[in-house]
Amino acid sequence: MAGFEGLLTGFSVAMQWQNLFWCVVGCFLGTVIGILPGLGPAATIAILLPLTTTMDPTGGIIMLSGIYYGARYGGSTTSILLNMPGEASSVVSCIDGYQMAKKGRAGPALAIAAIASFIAGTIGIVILTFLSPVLAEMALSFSSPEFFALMVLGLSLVVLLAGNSMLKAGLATLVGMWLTSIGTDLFSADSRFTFGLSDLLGGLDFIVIAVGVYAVAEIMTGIERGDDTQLLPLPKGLRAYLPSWEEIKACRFAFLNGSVVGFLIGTLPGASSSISSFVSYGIEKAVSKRPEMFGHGAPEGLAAPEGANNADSSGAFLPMLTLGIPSGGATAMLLAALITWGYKPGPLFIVDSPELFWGLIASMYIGNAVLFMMNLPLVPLFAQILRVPIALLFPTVLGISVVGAYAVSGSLFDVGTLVGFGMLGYLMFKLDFPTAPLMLGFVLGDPLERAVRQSLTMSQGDPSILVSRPICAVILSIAALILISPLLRRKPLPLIPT
Amino acid sequence: MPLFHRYNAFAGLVLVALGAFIVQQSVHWEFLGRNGPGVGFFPLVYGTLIVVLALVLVGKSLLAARRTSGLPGTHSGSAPGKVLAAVSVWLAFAATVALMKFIGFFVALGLLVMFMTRFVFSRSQRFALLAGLLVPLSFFVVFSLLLKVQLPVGIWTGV
Repeated sequence: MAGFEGLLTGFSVAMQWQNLFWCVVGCFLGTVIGILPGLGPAATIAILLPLTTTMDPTGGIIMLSGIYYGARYGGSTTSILLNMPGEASSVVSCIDGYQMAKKGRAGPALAIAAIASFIAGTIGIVILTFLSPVLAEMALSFSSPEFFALMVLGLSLVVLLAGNSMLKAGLATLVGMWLTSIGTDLFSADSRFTFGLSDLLGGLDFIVIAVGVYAVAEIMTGIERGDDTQLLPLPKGLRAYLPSWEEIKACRFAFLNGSVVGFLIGTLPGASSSISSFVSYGIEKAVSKRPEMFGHGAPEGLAAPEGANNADSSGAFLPMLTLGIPSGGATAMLLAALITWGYKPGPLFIVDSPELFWGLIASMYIGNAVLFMMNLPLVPLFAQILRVPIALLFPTVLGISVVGAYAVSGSLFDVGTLVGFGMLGYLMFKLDFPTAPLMLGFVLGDPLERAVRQSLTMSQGDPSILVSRPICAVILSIAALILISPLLRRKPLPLIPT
Repeated sequence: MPLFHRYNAFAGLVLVALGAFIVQQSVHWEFLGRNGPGVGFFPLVYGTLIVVLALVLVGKSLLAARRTSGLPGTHSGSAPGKVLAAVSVWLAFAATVALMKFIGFFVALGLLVMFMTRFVFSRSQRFALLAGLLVPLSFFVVFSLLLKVQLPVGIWTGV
């Protein structure tokens, strides 16, 4: 069993004191930024990424991943106490979580969210542990045409699922591809779209774009929203957080539902975590014996989406680690981090870097336990974070963004580029263009071009190679079906809430 | 024409121009060579797609605008004051980056903090002044002293 052996290796790596330390730091930071509205995990990872380049890669990726899944835990706190999601993934948790808190059950609501997150997160990691080697081995038989088809499928899903308009998601993806081709061509060493600027010969840096589009733009939208914080009172004493047996019993199916639905949706590129939360909430309500309770403080209505948004983060690691295809902005950032450290996530990642791969997986088990222990007794402390004035927080984040962008190559040109991409991110938000496809287009544009050019070189220019191989044909057919699916129905599927 | 559709149509036109520029550039590069696709192959494909999709966006926006003309607007935009606050922060941020070369990172950051606390978040002058001093100082302690991270040009003067 590759999974068991690998996991043992992983625990020996993750249990080293420095890796444990970075795991706890990542989980803590993740919870904090999950609580803070207006600062998401993608922005935080983007800001911290340049500062981690000098770190040991194992500790670095363990910390950044901790931020990613830790934010899911923190997001529920503001949903329950404030009726304001700290993260997009916690939108659904507001519905029943806030109602429970209003009825004086804030403590049990926070506990149910933490228990659901822990159970679903752990089940998600177990599936990830045993599915990763299988998927990676399957992908080993893939060549350039198959990878081209896989990336097209990934981008098609991004276009379908990200945002409210496929047209805008498609355009954002293509602009991302253009941005990635700025600089020197991989094959011929010719320069493209450099406008005569020597600073652009090396291309645009992913980190600079990510910090601009996520962090700077999030500050601008946060100022525009002008968030107001009115916390519901927190219960005193640990006993007040314990849910009743009836509440736990009502959540039994929700824990499982959230785990499976969350993991499956998490593996789909472009499917935001809010989708898994909404779908699991919908399923829970559909099978419930008391659907009328939903929206009025049903504990299972909180457990299902909370579980789903945690299992979803485990699912998102599957295509990123085994195929090199990120499923969203934050996993694109994690992929970029691994590439920056000189690793190549994909089918050979498990074989080439078993210690890093399994160390990361094992750290996720530890991180989940750390988050569970951290989130219940420390909730009153974390809630105090909401009292940090945004008048200080926002300029500090802008300052850290500058430090992060400058750390990439020590050039003020990068800092100027960051400013430009900050405005682009803000305009995209205003015009309802999703940003995740832009980032995924940027990340996948380069390998996509390489795959298509290698494929056509293999076939001496004959494009039929892309459709004549059976796996390619199947994957591209699915991608084509996804892209034409909106034309086949009159009304779009209400997958994403507006 | 409702504002949202007008902005969408404008964004579509900008993207048409971008796509046309990409196509115009890539036709000068090799499309297919002896060793397979050339440097212009990929940009020509996505450039053409950008033009086509952006034209669809313009068309759809104009059609939607025609359908909704005369009806009360349904898109609830933000208050102009809040948009102005967000844009002013971006302008201040851009000015900070431009000034950094001449006055150094810490002074520029201090000015940005003071501007945001005083004018965007309407805090007292004393608060703004204190924040303008303490935030750069904390950056100095955390990044320069503890993490030994290289900060943009110079310390105080930008030299």
